[in-house]
Amino acid sequence: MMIKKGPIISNLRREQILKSLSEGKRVDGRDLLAQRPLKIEPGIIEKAEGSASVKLGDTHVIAGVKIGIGSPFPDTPNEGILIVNAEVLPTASEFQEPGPPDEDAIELARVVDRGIRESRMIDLSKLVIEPGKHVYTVFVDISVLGMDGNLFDASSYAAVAALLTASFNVYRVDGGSLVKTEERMAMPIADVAVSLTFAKIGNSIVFDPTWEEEGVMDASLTMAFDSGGRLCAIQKGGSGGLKIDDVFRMVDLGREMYLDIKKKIEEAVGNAKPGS
Amino acid sequence: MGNLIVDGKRTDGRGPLDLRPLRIEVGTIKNAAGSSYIEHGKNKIYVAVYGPKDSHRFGTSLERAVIRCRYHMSPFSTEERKSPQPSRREIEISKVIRNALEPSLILDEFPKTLLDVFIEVLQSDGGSRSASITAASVALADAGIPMRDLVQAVAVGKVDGTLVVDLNDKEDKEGEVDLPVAFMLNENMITLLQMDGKLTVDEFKEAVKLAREAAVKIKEKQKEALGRKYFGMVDEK
Amino acid sequence: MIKSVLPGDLVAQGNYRVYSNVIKADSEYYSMFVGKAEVEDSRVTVIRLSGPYIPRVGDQIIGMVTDIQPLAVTVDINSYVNGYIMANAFFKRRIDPSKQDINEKVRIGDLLNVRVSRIERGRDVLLSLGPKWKVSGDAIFYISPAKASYLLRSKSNIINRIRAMTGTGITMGANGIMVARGGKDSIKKLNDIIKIIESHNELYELEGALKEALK
Repeated sequence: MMIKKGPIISNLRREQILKSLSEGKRVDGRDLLAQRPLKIEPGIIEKAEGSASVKLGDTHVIAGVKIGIGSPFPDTPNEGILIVNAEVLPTASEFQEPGPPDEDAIELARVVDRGIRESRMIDLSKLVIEPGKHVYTVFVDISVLGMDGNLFDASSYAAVAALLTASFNVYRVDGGSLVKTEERMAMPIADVAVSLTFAKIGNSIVFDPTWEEEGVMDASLTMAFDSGGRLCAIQKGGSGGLKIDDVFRMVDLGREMYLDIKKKIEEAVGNAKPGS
Repeated sequence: MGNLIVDGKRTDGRGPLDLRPLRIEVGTIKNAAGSSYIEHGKNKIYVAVYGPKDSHRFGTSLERAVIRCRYHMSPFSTEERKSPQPSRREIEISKVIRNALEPSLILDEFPKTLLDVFIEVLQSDGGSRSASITAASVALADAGIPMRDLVQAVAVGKVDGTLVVDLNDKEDKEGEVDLPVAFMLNENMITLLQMDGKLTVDEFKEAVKLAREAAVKIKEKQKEALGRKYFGMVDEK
Repeated sequence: MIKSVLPGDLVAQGNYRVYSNVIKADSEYYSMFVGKAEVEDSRVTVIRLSGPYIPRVGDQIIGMVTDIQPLAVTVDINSYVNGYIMANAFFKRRIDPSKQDINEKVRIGDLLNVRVSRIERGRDVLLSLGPKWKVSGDAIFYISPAKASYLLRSKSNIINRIRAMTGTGITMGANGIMVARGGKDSIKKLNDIIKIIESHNELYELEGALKEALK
């Protein structure tokens, strides 16, 4: 049923999108830099150590945080481990086949990972049980339930909100073996990663593209900022190119806009703040 | 053992015949032809139906639509993190769920097409396959697939010698019997029947009767959920 | 008599000459769908409120070209089967593929106004072009096929009234695809109307709600 949503966009619809943009609005009525309605709900999976559901327009993503115990990497004996996985579930769209993550899902996981890792959002040094031997492994799993574009931002918000509200049982070494205690600790948070995605369509730069807009765009740019407004990840997406000026303009826009997004995330999670 | 029922109360305070809290929503996934969301106990499950859709691939039939069913659990849905790859358990459950839903569907109107039912368990509690069937039947009705009747399912078990209806996680793991049953009530038919454990034939018959009574209540919830979407005003989103 | 029904609900008892969308078990009729049951003297039927577009011969629909082959063009018709148009329908005479190129007439992504001309079980649907097959417009809207069917069959010609009140030209396909021509404000009015239509499932309330909005 491609005519509604699919790899081929009708020429009429394409013209409608471009004409609307040239008049300063998107086909869903938004301004060029407006985000769709964003709803972040932390804690929806009680059994997980952390979780959050994000609805960004009709894009719907759930992230879950689970804690495991493992050995640290040899070159970082005093750090815990962070693993980010993403799956675009076959519920998300007609064109999503069940199966192992394809290149899109893998790119999604790795870009979200970079934002979180490079912002130093999690203080991995606080996730050590026995240096060199036992550390906590933080699994962040992203399940995309519904797809209407901009999976990068939605997934990032879900992962960040889940991490900000995660807590788990402390493990200790007792007489040579690992023991799970009743004591709880909160995920050691040192910063917050904020993701923003822009797209170039015709002559316009838009923020938070829908699936359709991703289908007609030249290319997109996903960026992540830490709380100090420094870029900690950036990814050009799509098979087209971006002019250098457009890249600079998008990054400037991101720098102007990231604090508002950060505020939305923090309001949704309550009192979670950067800082140990 | 011996502490799953105390003074007629189960581990979560219920009586032997009480159902866990059950909530169903219809139309939760916009891209899908039909969809639903169920919370049953601590189970949190989304179902999306896609199709019937043109399919020139393997396994299509000249006579009718072919139904494909996938039951999948998210890695964070269980106590210990689960690998995203489908396990043998998920594959078997996918098959029995398909076999539970198929008898209710009238698929010969759509030859050479594929009908997909995707079940995603975001949080699992005992009885997730039963809750999945209940939700999937609603999603199929939402998708406008012709059917003889709605299908609903519940797991009956035995704990501390007593038959109980709608097992929770602890009862599922530590009880003596796990017996999920699915029904098409109009025709008095069973479309899913599995068992772990041991029962006498009389106990088995009693368990199935108890399951049937629970199915009647669950069907009411399914109908209310569909009624809310189709026969009332849709709320502002 | 009209009532809301769900799959498996008993719609009527007795003997009816004509029945559709129900299962007959002796003299009882059960609904196969979520819908509105209509029971008259000799007829019982259920009007579906959801489900795919089911092509019928004679339907005027709007499709999108998804593939062009030498002898035929594949058209997505928003259904579980595809449609196709024979190449020579685009020319006024029998074609020679080495001389005429359908790509001159039509491109992938074009929307066409077509008629369902022939249906065979398990096969793509044959479509024919009418005189005004090229679709042009300013906006495209998607309505569920069940609602589209209802709008097109409505005795009070809802679509004409929507045209008049919004100032748009509308081509409504029976498959739920609508193309509209008009200025920015007219299209916006139409957008609001479509939202009301999509959010109302009580079809008999729909007329009233639209009347209110169109005042």
